[in-house]
Amino acid sequence: MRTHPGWFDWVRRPLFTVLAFVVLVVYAFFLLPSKDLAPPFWFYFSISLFILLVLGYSGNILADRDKPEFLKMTIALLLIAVLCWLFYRYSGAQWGRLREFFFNWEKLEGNWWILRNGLGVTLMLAAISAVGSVLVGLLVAILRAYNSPTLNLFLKAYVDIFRSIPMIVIMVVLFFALPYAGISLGSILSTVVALSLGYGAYAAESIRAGIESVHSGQIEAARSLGLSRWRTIHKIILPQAIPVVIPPLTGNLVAMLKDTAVASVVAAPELLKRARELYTSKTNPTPLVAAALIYLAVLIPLVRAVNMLENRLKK
Amino acid sequence: MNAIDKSEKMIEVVDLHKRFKDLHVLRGISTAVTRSEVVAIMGPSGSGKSTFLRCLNRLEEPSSGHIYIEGVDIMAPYIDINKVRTEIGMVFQSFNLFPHLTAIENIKLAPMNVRKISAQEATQRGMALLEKVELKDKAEVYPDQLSGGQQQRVAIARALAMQPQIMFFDEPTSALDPEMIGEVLDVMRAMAQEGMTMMIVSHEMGFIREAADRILFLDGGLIVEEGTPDQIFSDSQHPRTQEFLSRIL
Repeated sequence: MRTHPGWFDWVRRPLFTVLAFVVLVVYAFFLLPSKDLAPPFWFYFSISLFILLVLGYSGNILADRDKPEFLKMTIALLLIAVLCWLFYRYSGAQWGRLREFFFNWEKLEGNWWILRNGLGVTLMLAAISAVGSVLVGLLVAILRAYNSPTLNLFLKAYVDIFRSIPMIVIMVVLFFALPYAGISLGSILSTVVALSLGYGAYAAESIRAGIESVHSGQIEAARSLGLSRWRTIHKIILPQAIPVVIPPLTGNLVAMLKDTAVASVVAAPELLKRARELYTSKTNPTPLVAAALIYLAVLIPLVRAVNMLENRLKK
Repeated sequence: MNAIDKSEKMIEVVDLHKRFKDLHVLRGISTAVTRSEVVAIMGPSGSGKSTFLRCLNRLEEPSSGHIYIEGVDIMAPYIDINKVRTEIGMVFQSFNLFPHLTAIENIKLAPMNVRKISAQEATQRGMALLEKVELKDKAEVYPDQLSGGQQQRVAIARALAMQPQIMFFDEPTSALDPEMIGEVLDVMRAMAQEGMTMMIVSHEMGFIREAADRILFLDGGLIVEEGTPDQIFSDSQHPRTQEFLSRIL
């Protein structure tokens, strides 16, 4: 077994780390082309080489098990800063313009309530569709647990069809096409029905997987005691399946909450739709940025919660 | 009920067949079990012992043949099989206790939901049964905190809670550590003495010799030999039985 350092080991020494850093700084100040002078080859070659060197340098440190974590964190933040700086320097963007178009909060003054109402509609759509999709999923999964070949054919068809059609297509068909058949659902109802049916198909699959994870001996024991199929499902299978199913179901619900934004194409007055209205009336994209930040603020905690649920179940 | 009529037929099986696709597992089994009789089913693995037992309460759907439980043809169309199953307690090799319920809840579940007795009465009966299997102090414990032998005794109490006329045991001690086999067999022995009609798939020779009235020896999906334990163990006639016994004795 070789225990002496390999030929590449010098790249792990602190001296190399420091020297390479100095080299990169020098490169940044003296070798990077100015953005006004742009002879095509040298311009792109020099920037590409610089980015490659920076990535290689940070990768070399981040992948090194023996380097301290604080150094890695510093390098990671520096890397992000350098990439932002490169983007800023060569994209032609200017702070003033960035602020004016993306973070022009004055434009939103007095209009925050519109976004707040939009968020309210988004959350309402999500809540109703969450209940709807879980009910649909539960019904389909329970019916599938009866293992009737005829029934299964139709249930499988439903699940496959709704997992195959894009959500936006379901909504558009419900909202724009159905009225020609004399059925006008309106934008809110179209959205709720589309989300419930679409995500009901996913919920059905998740719940079915949970039901199938219950050991077959459990079912045999229940049936041999004289419990009917329904009582076996209700008293034995579901209590054991539900804890298994909750993390994937919550995951589905998060995805569904995001998909409420699709409802803006059928004019449901939810967050994205209201933000787009403001964007048009103010001729400024700040409301869109605000909407994105609001989605983030709502969804990041939810995504973390799903993650925690999954971890707790693994124990 | 009148005095026990020991000649009353509890189970009658006529020409029972079971096929799994191309596999012909049971190839025409006919036998009868009378009240209070303890019947042991033996045979090499793959001989169809478990399948036979599981067909008798239709946990496996028989392919053809007739099964009469207390005179009722359970193969008749539209029969309420759940009703039949309440008369037959079943104990499994892997216990199959419900892991989300405590011992006493495991026992109460079927009497409350199927027999529709009150929670109070179910608890009373359940505690009496737990006392019988000597696990009264484990009533509020979940199955995963019980040893294998304790779980199997709770499983027996759970089956008895329905007050069945017949008990089936499908290799009840095969999944147990050796030191726990005795406690389960003690419970079964007591049940046999109380006059329970029992069918037991097992290879516990000592237990069968002393508790069983009759042994069915299965091979290749047929009863190749049957008789009292004495006849089978010391004077078996069929070469397959002799070969099997010589290997496990």
